[in-house]
Amino acid sequence: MVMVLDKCIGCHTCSLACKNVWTDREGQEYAWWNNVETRPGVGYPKTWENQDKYGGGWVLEDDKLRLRLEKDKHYKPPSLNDYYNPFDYDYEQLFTQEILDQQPSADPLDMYSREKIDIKWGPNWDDDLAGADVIAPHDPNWNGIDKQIYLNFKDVFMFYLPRICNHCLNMACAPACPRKAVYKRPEDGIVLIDQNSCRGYRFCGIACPYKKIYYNWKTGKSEKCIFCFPRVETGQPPACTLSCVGKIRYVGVVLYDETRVPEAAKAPEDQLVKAHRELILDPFDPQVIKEARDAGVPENFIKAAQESPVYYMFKKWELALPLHPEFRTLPMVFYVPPLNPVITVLDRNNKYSADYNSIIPAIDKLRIPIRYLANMFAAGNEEEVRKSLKRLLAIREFFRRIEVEGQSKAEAAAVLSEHGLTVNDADMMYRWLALGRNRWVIPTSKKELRVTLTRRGKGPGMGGRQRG
Amino acid sequence: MRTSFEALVLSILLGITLAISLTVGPLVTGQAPDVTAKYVAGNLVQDAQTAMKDVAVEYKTGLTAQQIVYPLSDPGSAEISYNVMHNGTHIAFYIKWKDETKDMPIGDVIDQFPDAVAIQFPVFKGELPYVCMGNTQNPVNIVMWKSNTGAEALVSASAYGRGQVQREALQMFESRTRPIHTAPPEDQIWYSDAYYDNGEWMVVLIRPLGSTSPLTPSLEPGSTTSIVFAVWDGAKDERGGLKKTSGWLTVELEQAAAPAEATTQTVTQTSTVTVTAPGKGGVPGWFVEFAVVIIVLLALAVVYLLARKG
Ligand code: SF4
Ligand code: SF4
Repeated sequence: MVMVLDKCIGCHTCSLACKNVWTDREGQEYAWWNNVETRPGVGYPKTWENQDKYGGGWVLEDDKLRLRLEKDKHYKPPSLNDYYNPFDYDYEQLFTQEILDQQPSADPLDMYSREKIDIKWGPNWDDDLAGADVIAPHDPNWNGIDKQIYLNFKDVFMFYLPRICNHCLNMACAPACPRKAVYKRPEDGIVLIDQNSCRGYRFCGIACPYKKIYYNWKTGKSEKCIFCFPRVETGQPPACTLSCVGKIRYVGVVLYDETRVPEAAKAPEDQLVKAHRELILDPFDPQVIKEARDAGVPENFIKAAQESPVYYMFKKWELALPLHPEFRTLPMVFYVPPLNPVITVLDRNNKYSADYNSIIPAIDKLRIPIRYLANMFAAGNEEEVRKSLKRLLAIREFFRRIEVEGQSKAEAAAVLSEHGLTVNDADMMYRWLALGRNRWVIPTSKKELRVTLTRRGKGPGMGGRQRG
Repeated sequence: MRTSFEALVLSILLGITLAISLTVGPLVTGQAPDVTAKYVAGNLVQDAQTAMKDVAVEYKTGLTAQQIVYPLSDPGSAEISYNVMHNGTHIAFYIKWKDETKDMPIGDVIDQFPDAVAIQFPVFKGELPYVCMGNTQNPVNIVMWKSNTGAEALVSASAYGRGQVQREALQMFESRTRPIHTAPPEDQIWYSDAYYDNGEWMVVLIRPLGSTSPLTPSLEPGSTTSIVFAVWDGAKDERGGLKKTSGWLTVELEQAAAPAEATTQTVTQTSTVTVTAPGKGGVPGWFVEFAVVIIVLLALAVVYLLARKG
């Protein structure tokens, strides 16, 4: 999946769609398999990116990957205090209150005890009750930034960060499970927890650096985003994607080299995004197609891989980036970083406008510090973020030259080629990003065609397919 | 002619030896069992609170922290005291151990773990696997009691949770071999009750001796089985491999006083199970064993005489 953050309006429709379909039941009240958090902020659960606290992800030691949890087993699973105390409202009150000048109100109730409670935190508290000056300094992504500058009124910035399970290639959740209840489906890469095998130990939840596994206190087993597999198998997008108001979500398959996953996960930090991209194969390469066929990948998947928005945005155009690649799980949800407000300048006519000639060179003057985005999406590698933002700006510049300045496509194309793009790329991007057409290309699965994942480290070949 | 006769004698002798070891194993091997499950006539104590005060816990066994497979426990030890008894139809384990905190997460609690105890049995007689969780050749049957959910029967068939290095060596990243499963409904034959008082748990676990499921070994009066105990302390976030275990212990079930007759005994408040209970009188177990030995010796003598003649 790719999420284009510029387009997220923070409406939480995705979260509600997911909740209504999957987690509106006892034991999962606090669980938002899809959540939307506001940045800068601490997220859900609070400061989940701080692995010193939560013990998630992999650590590279002597060229070996080890689960942080395995190095120190004293990490605890997150508590309701880290998430929030789930609450409901006493809607009855709306009908029974005496008629007053003010609007009627409903008291919040603890969802478990049904007793009145004082709400102290919520799944997107950073946004709901603002207070960024208090909460935002605790965001773990300020590393290397003088955060005080950005907490000043006028200099402050914000964007939304919707999150689901990343259905990682090198997931930390699965190997942490002594019961081997967590597994990746070879046919489409969806990561699931076998509810018959799960014993509720919560090692997976500690190991997942994204905190995307939720213990169900009612069943005593852990649960997670299932990428709406019953929908996906029939060619339909997940509920979050279908319902997304901002049309920010793109779903497609990619072909990748399963045998190289461990090697990619061990890349030096600043090379992690590059190594991750190199795993993704060119679905037009005849050799790749042949190997895919030999490995039993069905034709409709190969065709879908050639039309996949994930392939284009992550691999070909390098617009999309993984969230916290330094956790080394090779997450398969990618984010096109927000092209935050372009700082306006007094132009020749004494009007505030974007001096477009200077936009691309002045990319470091954008409101959201590049460093902040790099800490979040590129393990600190600012060049990866710059490349993505520059390309996004180049597309806008290209269309501006045509629409505003009346240049021909051929003339305007100079700004594209400067950033390694073609007119055809720009047209495709326009259709996908601006018009939001064909946001999902999902081949239907046929059970009888299921392939098995090649065991890691053995032989060449295509490891299978992964939904992005 | 003589050679084939000798072969016949040898095979008869082998057959007899096998018969001896199968029927009167403990007698022949002379191995003293670690635990004797005494035969008691009538109903077994089911209520843990009563058991805490009335059942004498005769045996004590030290448990040590599991230190072999991921996730490794902190070094440490514990001790359980227990008693095992049967009434010819059911076997009861009375297990008592000290635990300063009563950890019983109930309701919307997501970060706490229950206190627990388990007993593991080999599914087949024969070679015993490593004390934790069996292996593919030697599966184990486990009853696990948790403070918040009670007893559950499990079947496990492979040492689980290999460390990262072992996993890499075995290329097990994607392995879907599930080492442990909740046993099918027909194997959920355990009754449990628990009582916590003054820093101590008493857990009563009772099951019928007989079993029709291949995953649950039948326990017969007069036979021996092997068991391993394990306990978990919820306050220390112990669960899964973070546990303390005993070594394998042999348990001999005393002969029942009489052959069983079908009767009905109420084992839980909610369910009634039909079981077989011993009748009155009958041949004592020691007599059967003695008779078998005499028959075998006589047979040996006959074979020897025949051999000499031939
Ligand atoms: S985000 Fe990755 S590590 Fe976490 S649950 Fe999903 S697949 Fe597992
Ligand atoms: S539905 Fe779409 S736009 Fe709305 S919060 Fe979710 S991801 Fe953002």
